[in-house]
Amino acid sequence: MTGAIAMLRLPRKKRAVRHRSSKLWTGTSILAAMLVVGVIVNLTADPIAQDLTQRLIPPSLAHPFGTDELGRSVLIRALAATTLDVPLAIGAALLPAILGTLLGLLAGYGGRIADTVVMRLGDMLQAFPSYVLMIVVVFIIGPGINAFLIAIATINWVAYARLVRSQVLVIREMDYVHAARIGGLGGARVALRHVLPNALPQVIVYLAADAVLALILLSGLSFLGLGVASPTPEWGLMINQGRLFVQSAWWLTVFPGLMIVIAAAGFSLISDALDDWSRV
Amino acid sequence: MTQLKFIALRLVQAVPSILAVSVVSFLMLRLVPGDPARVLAGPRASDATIAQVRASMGLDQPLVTQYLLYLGRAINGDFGVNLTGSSPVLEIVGNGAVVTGTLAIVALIFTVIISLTLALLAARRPEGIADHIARVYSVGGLALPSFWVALMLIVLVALPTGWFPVGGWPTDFGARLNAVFLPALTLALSLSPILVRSLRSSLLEVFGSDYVLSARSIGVGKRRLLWSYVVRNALLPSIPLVAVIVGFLLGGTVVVESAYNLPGLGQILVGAVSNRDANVVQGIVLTLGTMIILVYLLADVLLSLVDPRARQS
Amino acid sequence: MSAALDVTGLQVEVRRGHDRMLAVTDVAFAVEPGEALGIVGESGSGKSLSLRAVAGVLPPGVTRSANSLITGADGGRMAMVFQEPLAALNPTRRIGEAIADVVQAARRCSRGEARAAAIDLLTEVGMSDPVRRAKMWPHELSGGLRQRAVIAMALAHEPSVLLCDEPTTALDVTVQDQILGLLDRLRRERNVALVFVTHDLAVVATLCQRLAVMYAGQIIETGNTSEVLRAPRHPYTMALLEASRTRTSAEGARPIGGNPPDPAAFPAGCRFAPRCPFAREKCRQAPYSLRTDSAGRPNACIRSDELIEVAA
Repeated sequence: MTGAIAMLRLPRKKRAVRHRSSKLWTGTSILAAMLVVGVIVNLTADPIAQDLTQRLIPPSLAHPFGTDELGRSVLIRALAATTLDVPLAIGAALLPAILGTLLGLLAGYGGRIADTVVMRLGDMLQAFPSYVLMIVVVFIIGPGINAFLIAIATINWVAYARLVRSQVLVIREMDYVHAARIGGLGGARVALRHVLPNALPQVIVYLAADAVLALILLSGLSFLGLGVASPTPEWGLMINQGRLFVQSAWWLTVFPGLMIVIAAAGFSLISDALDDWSRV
Repeated sequence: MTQLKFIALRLVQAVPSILAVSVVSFLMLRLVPGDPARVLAGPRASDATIAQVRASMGLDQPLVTQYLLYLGRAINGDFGVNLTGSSPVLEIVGNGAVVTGTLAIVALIFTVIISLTLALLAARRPEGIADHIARVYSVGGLALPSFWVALMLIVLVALPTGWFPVGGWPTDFGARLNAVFLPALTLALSLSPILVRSLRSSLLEVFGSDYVLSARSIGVGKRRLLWSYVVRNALLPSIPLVAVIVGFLLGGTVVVESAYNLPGLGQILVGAVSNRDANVVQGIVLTLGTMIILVYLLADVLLSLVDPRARQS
Repeated sequence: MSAALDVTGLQVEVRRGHDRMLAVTDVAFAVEPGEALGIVGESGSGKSLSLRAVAGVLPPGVTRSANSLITGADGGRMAMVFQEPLAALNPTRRIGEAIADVVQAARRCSRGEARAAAIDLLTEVGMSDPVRRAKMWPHELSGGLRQRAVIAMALAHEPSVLLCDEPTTALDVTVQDQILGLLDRLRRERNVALVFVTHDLAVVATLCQRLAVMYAGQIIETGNTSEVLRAPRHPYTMALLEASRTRTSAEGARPIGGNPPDPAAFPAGCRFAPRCPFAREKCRQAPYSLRTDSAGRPNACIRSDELIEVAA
C-alpha cells in the first residue's frame, strides 16, 4: 500500500515553508517587542515606587492594569518584569545545554565507567519531577535566583547529554572503521568538528522548548515564595502577592499571568517553528 | 514468560532504584553547607540540642555507617520528627500522601478522558475544527502556567458558584472529591497537551491501518471496532508517556496544592523548605521518589497487560 | 445479473495537503462466480489502489469518486486479502477472536457460535491444530499461517468475491505455492470470484482464467490469460512479457526504458506513448478507450490492428 502512494509526488513545499517561517517571525517579534518595552519601562519608570494613596485601583485609563496593594501600577511592574523573566528564561535554557554537552562528551569519550555513571544519573534525574528537584536545591542553597539557575542546570542537562553522546558514538564508530586512514589522530578536534555541528540543530530545538519550561519554573518558584524576592517585579511573585486579593482585586493575578502566557507563547512559537524546520 | 513472573521480575528490578532514591535523599542533607547536625536540628536549635542530634543520629561516624543507620531506621518506619517535635515525619508524610495520591489519581483520570476525547475528535476529521483546536492546544497548552490556571479557575468557577470549597481537607469522601475536583482539573489541563499530541498521531496511524480499514469494511461492530481495534492499539505507544505524565503530575502538585491550599505532599514540602525542616524534606523526597518508581513499574506492567507483544521481555 | 462483481468508471482521487490527483481513471472490469481475474502491472500502476477502492478500504486522504459504479450479485459481499498479513491483523487481538468478530457481524449469532465457526474456518484454510492456534496472537504465527488467518477472516464475511492484493509477495517462496493453492481450492469449492492483483505474471498464468493489464491508472489490455500471454496486443503488455521472460531466463534483463508517468502530470492521450517504441503523433492525442480490435481482443492501443504484422 505504501508503495503505491509513495510513487506519487509530494505537494509543492512553498506554501508549507511560508507557514513555518511566519511562526518564527511571530514568536521572535513578540519576545523582542516585550524586551524592548521592558527596557524602556525600566529606564523611564520606577516599578518599585509606592504610592499608598493609589492602592488597589481597578484597571482605568491612568492605570490600565490597575494598581496593587502598595499603590504600584501593575502595568509598569508587569512590563518591567520582562527584563528579568525573559533573559533569565533564555539563560536558564542555555546553562543545561552547556553542562549537558560537556557531560555528553564525557560520557562518549570518557570510557565505560564515565558513560554508565553519567547515563544512570541522567535516567534518575529525568524521572524526577522538576519542581521537586528544584525545591530540594532551594533547600540546600537557599531561595533566590542562584538556586533556580543551579537547579535548572542540574535537572535539564540530560537530553543534551544524550544527544551529544550519541553523536560521539557515531563519530567513534567512524573512527574505528577508518582508523588506518585517519592515522589514529581522530582526536578531539576532528570529533568536535563533527559532533557539535551535527548535534546543533537538535540542540537549538531543545533550547527553545526549554526556555518555555524555564520561564514557567522560574515564575512557579517565585509563586511559591522561594524564588525572586520582593520588591523586584517578577510575574510569578506578583501573582503570589496578588493571591490574597484574588476575590476583590482580580487584576493583580490576571495580568501578570497573561504576560507569562504571552512570553511562553512566543517561545513556543519559536520552538515549534524550529521543530518543523529540523524535520525537513 | 508468564504474567506473574514478569511482575515479580519488575518488582525486583525496582529495588535498586528505590535504594538509589534513598541514597539521594540521604546525601541531600549532607550537601547543605555547614554542619549537618545543625541542619537537622533546625535554625533555632540550641547548642545542646544540636549535640544531642549529632549523637543520636551518629553524625560523627563514617558516611557509610550513617547511611546504614538511616536505612535501618527508614525500614522500621522511623523518619524522625518534624522541627517542632510535634509529629513523626511518617505520620505527616502519610497524611500528605493520601491527599496527593487522591489528587494525582483523579488528575490522571481527567487527563486521559480529556486527551482521549480531544484526540479522537481531532483524528476522526483531520483538518477539521477539532483538529485545529487539538493542535493549538497541544502546543499552546504547555505555555499555560498551572498556578495561574488554578487562580483563574478559582476566580471564574469556585468563587462565583461556591460549588468547590477551596482549601482544607474534609473527612467525608464525597467532600474530598469535591475539594480535589478543580485542582485535578487544573493539573489535567496543563498535562493533557503532551498526551493529546501523542494520542492524535497514533490514532491517525491506527485509523489508516489495514486491520482497522479491513475490519470496518467487513462489518465489525462500531463499538467493538472503536475500543478493541482503535483505542487499544492507539493507546499502546502512549503508555510509557503516562509514566512521564505522572512524574510531572507529582511535581505539579507542588504548585497546585499551594494554589488551592490542599495539605498534600507538595504543600508540606514547600512549607518544610521555608522552615528549614530537614527531616520532613528528606521524608517527602524519599516518598515521592519511591512513588515515581512504582508508577513507572505500574506503567510497564500495564503495558504488558495491554500489549501481548510486550510480554516477551 | 450473473456477474459476481461488476466495476465501471472507477476513479480514485488522492489528496495530499492542497494537491489532488486522479491516480486511477476509467477502470472497468467484471468477474463471474468461480472465476479468477488477474490484474497485473508495475508498482505505481494503480492496481492496488483500484482493488482497495473496490473493497472500500482506502486510507484517509484517498477517495473513490462518486461516479464509480460497483455492483455485485444480490446479497453478494466482498472481502479483501492483504499483502502484509501482520498489518492486516489486529496485534492486540487473538486470531480466533478476530475471526469471531467478523462471523458475529456477518451472522448475528452468539459469541460462542462465532468462536466455533472461527475454528471451522481455520480448518478450512488448512491450519493444523486450529483450536490451539485460535488462541494465539498474530505475532506468534509464521508468515504463512498469518496469511491463512487473514484468508479465514475474509471467508468469515461469507463473500462472493475475494479481492487479493499480492497476497504472497511478502511470504517465503515455499509458502507462496501453498497459499496460492489454497486460494485456488477455495475458488473451486466455494465458487467465489477471485480478483488477483500481482506483478508476477507466472502467478497469473497458473491461477487466473482472465487478466487485465494496468498502466498509469488505466486498464490497457484485457482478455483470456492464455491468449494475452501468448499474443499480447498492447505494446506495454508486449514489453512487460519481454521483461519478465528475460528475467526468468537470466539472459540479461531488458527492462522497459523510462519510468511510469507521475499521476500529478499524466500525459494527454496515450499514457504509454512517451515510452512506446511504436508511438505516433496521433497516439498523443487519442483519448483513452478500451476497445475490441479486429482480432477480437480488447485493448487500449489505437494502433493494435496495424501492429499485428510487427508482433512476431
